[in-house]
Amino acid sequence: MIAGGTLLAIALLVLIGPLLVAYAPYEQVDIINGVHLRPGARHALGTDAFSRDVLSRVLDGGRISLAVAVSAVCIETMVGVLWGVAAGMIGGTLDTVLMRCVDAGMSVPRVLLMLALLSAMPQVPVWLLVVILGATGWFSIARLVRGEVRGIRNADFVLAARALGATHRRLAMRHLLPHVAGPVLVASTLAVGQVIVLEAGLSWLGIGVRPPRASWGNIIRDGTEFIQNAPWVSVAPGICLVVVVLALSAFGDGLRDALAPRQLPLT
Amino acid sequence: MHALIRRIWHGLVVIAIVATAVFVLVRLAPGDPFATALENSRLTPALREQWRAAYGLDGSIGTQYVRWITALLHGDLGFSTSTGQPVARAIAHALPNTLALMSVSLLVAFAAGITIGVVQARRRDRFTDRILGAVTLIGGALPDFWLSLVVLLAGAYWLRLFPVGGASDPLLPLAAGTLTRLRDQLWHLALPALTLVILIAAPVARQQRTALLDRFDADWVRTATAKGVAHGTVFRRHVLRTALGPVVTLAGLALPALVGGAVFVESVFAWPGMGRLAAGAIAARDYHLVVGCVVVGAAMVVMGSLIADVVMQRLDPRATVDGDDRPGRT
Amino acid sequence: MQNTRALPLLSLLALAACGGENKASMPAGTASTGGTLVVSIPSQPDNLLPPITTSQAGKQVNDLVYERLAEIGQSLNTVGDAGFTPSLATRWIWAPDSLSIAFQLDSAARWHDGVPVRASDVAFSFALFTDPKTASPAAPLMANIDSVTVRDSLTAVAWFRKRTPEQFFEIAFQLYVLPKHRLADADRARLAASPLATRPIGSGPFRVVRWEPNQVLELAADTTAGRRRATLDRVVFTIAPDAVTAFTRVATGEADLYEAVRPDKLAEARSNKQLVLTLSPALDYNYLGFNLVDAGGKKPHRIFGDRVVRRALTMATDRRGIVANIYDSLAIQARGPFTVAQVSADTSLRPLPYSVDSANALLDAAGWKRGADSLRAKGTTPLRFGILVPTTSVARMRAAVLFQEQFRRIGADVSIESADMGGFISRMGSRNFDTLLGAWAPDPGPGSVRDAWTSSGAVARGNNLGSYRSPAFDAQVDSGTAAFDPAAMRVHFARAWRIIADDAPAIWLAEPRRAMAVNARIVTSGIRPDAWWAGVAKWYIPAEKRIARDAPAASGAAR
Repeated sequence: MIAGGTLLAIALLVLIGPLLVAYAPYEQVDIINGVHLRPGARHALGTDAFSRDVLSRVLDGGRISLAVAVSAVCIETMVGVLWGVAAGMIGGTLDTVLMRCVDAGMSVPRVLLMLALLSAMPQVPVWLLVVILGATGWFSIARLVRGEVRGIRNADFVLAARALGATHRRLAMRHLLPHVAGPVLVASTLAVGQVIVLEAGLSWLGIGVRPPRASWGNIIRDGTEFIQNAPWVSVAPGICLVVVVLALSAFGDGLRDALAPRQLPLT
Repeated sequence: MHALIRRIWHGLVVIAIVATAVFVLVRLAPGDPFATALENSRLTPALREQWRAAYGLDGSIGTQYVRWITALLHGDLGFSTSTGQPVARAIAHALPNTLALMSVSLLVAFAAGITIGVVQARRRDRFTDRILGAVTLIGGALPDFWLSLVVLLAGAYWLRLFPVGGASDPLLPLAAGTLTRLRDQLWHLALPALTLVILIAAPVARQQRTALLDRFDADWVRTATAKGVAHGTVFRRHVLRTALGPVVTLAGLALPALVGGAVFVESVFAWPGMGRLAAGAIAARDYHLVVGCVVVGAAMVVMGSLIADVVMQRLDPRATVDGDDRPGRT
Repeated sequence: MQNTRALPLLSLLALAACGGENKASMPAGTASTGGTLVVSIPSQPDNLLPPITTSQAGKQVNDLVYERLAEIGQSLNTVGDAGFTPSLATRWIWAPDSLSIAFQLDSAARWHDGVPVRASDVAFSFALFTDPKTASPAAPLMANIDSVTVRDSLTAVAWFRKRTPEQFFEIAFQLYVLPKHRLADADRARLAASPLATRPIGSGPFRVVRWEPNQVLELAADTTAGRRRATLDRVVFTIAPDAVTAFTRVATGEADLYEAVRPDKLAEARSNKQLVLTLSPALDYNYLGFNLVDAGGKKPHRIFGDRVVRRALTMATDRRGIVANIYDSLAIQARGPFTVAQVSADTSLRPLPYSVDSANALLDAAGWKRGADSLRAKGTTPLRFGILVPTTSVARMRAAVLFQEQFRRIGADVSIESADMGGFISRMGSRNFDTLLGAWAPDPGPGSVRDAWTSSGAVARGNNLGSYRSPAFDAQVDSGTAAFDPAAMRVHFARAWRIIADDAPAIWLAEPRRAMAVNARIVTSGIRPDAWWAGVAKWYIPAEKRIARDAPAASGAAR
């Protein structure tokens, strides 16, 4: 409950917040005298090395971080569910092939995959970042869905439907999907938190969201360089990041308990 | 036994898929393995082309792939252009460091995580459980790179208790005794290991608690308790043993995340392991080294989950070695 | 990170002497042998074979491990042999026609494995450097040397194609003498795979005793030759993960020397009583270069083909402000394609002024009108372009963000195209960019500007990346390079600089200076402006200032 409230509050803040602050997130107010100003009356969270207002960047960056994560997880979930249902329902050789691909995907650290893909790109439009994040994250959802589908494939109600002549499509849509929806929802919620962290990490490495566009990760990066002289630059986005991820994982847990405490896989 | 062989075979297939995919991927990215930090007026494109040819990095991807496979069958992983040594040697230097870091972190994290989980389960819904629950929730939510930075800042810069990076004191005399050497290495290991321990212990504890509570509620445990078996005995003999299973699986499944997290942790703490080697290789377009690192990483993951399955079967004979039916990881 | 501005080769002229070396006017301690110098570096060498080494750290180690025939003097003079001091060669004799020089080798010289150094090693080294199979980046610098022959076992003769002012410099300084008996059988096309690439065998004052990748590279004073033993027992390069950590090690005393203190650490370094700070003059410049032609290379660039637009964009930028923001006091504003330390420099040259109003007026007049979103466009072409920048350079990444915002203010939509160095170089080579943030370390000699900015470099593999072509500029550069009279040379170059500054093919930004921090316990001497390490063999640590790691027992060489 608290978790849900926190999430809602942060979402509202990053949506409306940028409209309320006095500076644009990319505005360099005074590159000689306005650098690394302490938090104060004019800049509630201080300024960074380019004399930009940290508050306005954190709000704007939050918008991007959250939007990227949510969209990427949507892609992950869609691909993962389709893959998992296909593997689980059809079975046989196709299942083996599909699952070997999932194994391969899961055995490469996602960070390395992203590093290889992104570090070479001179410019990464945000949509492409979303697609790449989504394309590298669906493996575990596919495995989860396949497991669920296999578990109920031979359940009475499925067998009954099959006996009544239901098509594969109808079977999937009417009987299997509703059943896997719960676990998938939980997994997706938790995945949003992971993707936020991953995007932040990539942006922190300088290969995620590119300047001058802000994301929590690259604001932290901008600040890390000067952490001893101007800690405020990376403290605020760092706290936001932790709070959101915390709220998401608490929310996901709550969701799991509320849905079906016993059957669901564990984190 | 048959199932085991099949799983090993599957593992090899997985590694082959990964190797091929990465081999192609790194070459699709624009770049040059012979570019230096400064635009060097003397390092002309013609020279770089010549160097590429000398190290087997010219021609189409197909040609390179055939060449690479042929060399691989002769036990040659290629030459690392950025570190100036054979790939095998570069990995041989880095792998023990990563294994040391991981095994220490895993060991400590699992000991800590399981203990916390057990304490929580036995104090279910009481104050201790709540507090520990909150702590593990936070621990699991901390971004890896951010936590590394904070730990580094606190431990090395503010408190100045630990070194700022590296795996050993470069100035340690070569003649130093084994004990001195070991102490020095542990001292350098402390901060990166602490970071990984926090990251791993939290989910382990949560998993352990849930698994234990599940077993407490199971019928056969109720029966045993009803039959008058002492609580502690029930706990040790029935509950803990079966509840360890999922946790062991978690260890196997945690490996990719661990190898991935190691990229950040090793980068921040300058730990000369596989993560840092791989990240550096990608930046330097050191194609052979990238593929080498990823293959070794994938092999570790495949082996890890295999071992976890075998161990789990020992703990809980109902489980099968066929990994496809184990629960998903989120 | 900071090593992106790697120290350039050499500069022709006498540079102001550096500060640090005067500190020790006959100090209290004695110069007895012993002690350890710990150098903190942010990235490790690529390899340790002089013909193919391209990294700064590799060059430093090579200079300590290998020897040249003669060492360049403190004045960095490259004309004739004035100022050069004997190194591997004890003396040299010019032929009357100046087309050959005979070098007499030191008979006491030994390779680190005990084998004597012979004239055949010199001839072999030259052959190795210039063999096309080796593909050495240094080979073009020896293009004027026809061959090196062996007169007797201790006399090597270098033969030149023609008489030039720098012919002595070319053979004596560019050529490292390598051990023939160790490299004769090496595959020249794959020199980096040779064992010597990681464990060099030289004849210099130090030998490599260990190299743990990404951790430490340890050199020990060589005692086999008994000739010019270094005062220090060892020099240890500790490899830090990044520039910040590299500096921290020096600040805490874990290391003794860091060669490139960043601007934001300058105050901290100054207030640290343990450290002595030495500023060296700039030897490279960086700039925002416009691509004057379209991707195909035939047509003028849609935006930067127009001189007026380039001038307007130059005037729109507060270069002084950008330099101050990035470098604090560690750089001066660059004026043109030269560093003030070069003989051809014109320090009175005034760059185009910073005036946003003039910039706007120029763009308006040139037909670039502001649209509703305040973005300018000419017809259907929007004023939209990218800045290509390497992620490995902290300074240039920052410059990109600053430029981007200043261009936005005059109605340009600019995207930052960051690539790691590999991607950057490859796009630079294929001319695939609108603008790029480049850094250039000009080679010695005023003629070095030719490749980077005249028409002759605007070819497929040349270094004139923006394809700037101006016959007037070319003519002045040619006249200046050919001039024997320094005054006449300067007049021609002053004209050339004025022409190129007015044509604005680039916005020249900064000439970064270098701040080196050395622990006060080290008594340094002979710090050369281009290479602090040149005199390391004579540095020492007074007995009373030695610490645990200076003890002989601590040395790896004591095995």
